[in-house]
Amino acid sequence: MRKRTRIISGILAVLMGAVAVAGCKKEEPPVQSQAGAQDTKAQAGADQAGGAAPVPVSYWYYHKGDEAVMMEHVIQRFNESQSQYVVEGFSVPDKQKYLVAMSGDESPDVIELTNSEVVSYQGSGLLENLTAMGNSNGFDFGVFDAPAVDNNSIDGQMYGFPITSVIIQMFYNKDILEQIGEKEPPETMEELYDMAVRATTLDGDGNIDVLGYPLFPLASARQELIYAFGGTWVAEDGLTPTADSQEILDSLHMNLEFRNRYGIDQVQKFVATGNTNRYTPQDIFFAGKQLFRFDGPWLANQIRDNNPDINFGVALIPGTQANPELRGVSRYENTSLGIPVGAKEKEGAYAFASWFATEGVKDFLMEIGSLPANKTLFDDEELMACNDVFPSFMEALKTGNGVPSLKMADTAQYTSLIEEYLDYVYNGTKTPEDAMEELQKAASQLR
Amino acid sequence: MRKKRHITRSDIDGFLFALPWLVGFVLLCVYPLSMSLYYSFTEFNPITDPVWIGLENYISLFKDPRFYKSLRNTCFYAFIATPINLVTALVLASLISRRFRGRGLVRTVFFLPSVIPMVAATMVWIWMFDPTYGFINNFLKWFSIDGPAWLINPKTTKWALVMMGMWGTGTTMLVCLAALQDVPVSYYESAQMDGANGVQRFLFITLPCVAHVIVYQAILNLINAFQYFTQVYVITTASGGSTSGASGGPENSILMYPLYLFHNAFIYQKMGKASAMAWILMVVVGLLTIVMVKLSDKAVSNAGGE
Repeated sequence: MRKRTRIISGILAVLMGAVAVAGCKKEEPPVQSQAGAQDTKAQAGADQAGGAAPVPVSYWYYHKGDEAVMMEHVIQRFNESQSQYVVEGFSVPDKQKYLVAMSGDESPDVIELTNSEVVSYQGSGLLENLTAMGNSNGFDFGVFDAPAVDNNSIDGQMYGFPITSVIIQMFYNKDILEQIGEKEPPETMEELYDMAVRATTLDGDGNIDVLGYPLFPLASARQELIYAFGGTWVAEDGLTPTADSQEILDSLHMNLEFRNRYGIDQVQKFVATGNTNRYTPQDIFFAGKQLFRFDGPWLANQIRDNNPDINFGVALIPGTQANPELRGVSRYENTSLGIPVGAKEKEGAYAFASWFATEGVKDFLMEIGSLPANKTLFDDEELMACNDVFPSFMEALKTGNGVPSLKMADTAQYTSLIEEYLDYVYNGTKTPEDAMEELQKAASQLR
Repeated sequence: MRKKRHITRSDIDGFLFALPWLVGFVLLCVYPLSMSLYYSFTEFNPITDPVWIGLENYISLFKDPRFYKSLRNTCFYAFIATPINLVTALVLASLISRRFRGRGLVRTVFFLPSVIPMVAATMVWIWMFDPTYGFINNFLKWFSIDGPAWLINPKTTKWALVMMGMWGTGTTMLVCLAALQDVPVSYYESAQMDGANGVQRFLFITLPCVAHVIVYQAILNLINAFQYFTQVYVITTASGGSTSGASGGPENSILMYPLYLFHNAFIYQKMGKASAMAWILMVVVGLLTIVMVKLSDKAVSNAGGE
């Protein structure tokens, strides 16, 4: 009996140890793309045939599902375009895996990046200087839009090749505009305010039925409504907070004037409904209850899917009477490609990333439906034809009024503070002056 | 003089049997706890190595207005929602402990919310709180009450959470039900013979007899309240208004302590500060538990229990 007990306990102890050791085993690489798998087979074929085998280059990207398939098409086109390298794509949506791989010795050769990642990864010394690599290969960085260069640069050196760009512009309901006797959308914020007041209607209970002023989506109201007045949250260096600037205060005063006119509670309720039902058939814009909507080009696809009958147009976000040249202003964000310092095949990585950002990008953009960061495509008719609203968005891109992303190390904290203090203003808890002064003080302690 | 005890084969067998648990405990509890304590005195993010900074994380937390705000929000939920949930659970348990047709079905209906995944339930609640199309405001409209924008008005957000909490009291209700069924029927019979009415029977018999269970549930609910995360995380991320990814709701009115800890760790990448927050939370919950256990002992002795 005792012997049996000892054997059982011994087996259990060994099993436990085995489980613990199994937990420490080297992590399997993420699921490899179809294109990469096929190319690896081609490489094996080349090896057998005795030819020079293409050098494998690993590429990790965030996209998954249908978008991952589109990314695979780009990889396939690159692999077919030359025989020196074979890119193996991996769909890795988990951001933690990038950090672990890049700070260890499992770094991929090319990675997809957001603007904030360019700042944080470069700050930790994890990204290769692409300006230096590009200059030694004769790369023309002038093909990229200026805000895209800004978003991917630290101290004048680029660390990411921009692929797509994201901007916001003004959608408007043509029927509501016509009902208030207007034929053309506003060109200044003052005109917009006037139209918004005339278009806003209340139901029998005093609740807002149609909203004129673009207070929803919240993120657009927080950014584009500020930028339209010439306000930005940081100075041109991308680092110094400017929350108490007069332009921001002007924007907040107009915003608050509208809220007070219809009642803060009533506006909150309408915005809350907008929030809960965003991009559903009950979306306030799709339901014909919103005159102006600041949103991205994807809204056109959402309209097509949810209510294709809505009669809408797209125009540049207005400037102000004092600064009409601000028309087309918007946040400006990119997805980019970077080469980690720990990449094993840097030349291949550069070859792929630079090809993708220039020759390979158009087909990808057409497939995925995104805007370019490459200036040479701003007038491309084929690209414009793939989304009805692209011509207006391209026009906005050409104004050069895109506002680059923040570059502070504590960007997320600053953005979170901005959200909190704008809430104080919008809810009438603090005056714009007090709120922005406090925000400026809090932000000045960030890095 | 104490006699030296030799290790027997039985001791070794016992140790081997306990080994799997010991290995798990050391690897999954002792090691992470020790590391988080160490990290709380360092500055580091997932990319860089920890740098020893002494008490700086703790000092910066005690100077941080959001730290206090998150603590206030959490205390509001803990000390408002917990008693409400307990009373709700006790009342429901009293109601469904009676014999009536369909009792099983009613019990199931009240318990059902406790087994629904929290994320799915919260998404449904977000829709129910919609000021225009939501069930709650439409229900209030029947009584000519103009409901608020529950999740966007900082004055109502925490109360919305309290309402959600009341809906999920099934587990507490079940424990109270078991306690109620343990109260000897003879007590009620004696009281009835002495002329005690229903309220008196509840106050002087039921309540003292189940007091120890209520206090125990209060401790558990309080500890859970200090770990309140999923619901606020879903609400703040599903609202779509945040570009920072670190929203605490309108005016940070539902920035709960664990949510702020999460923001520090995974959004602001300040792992050291987050670890310090975790240790402060552990101390607070530990102290609360000691107080509640003392109260529990008192409640049991007052009720004449063991």
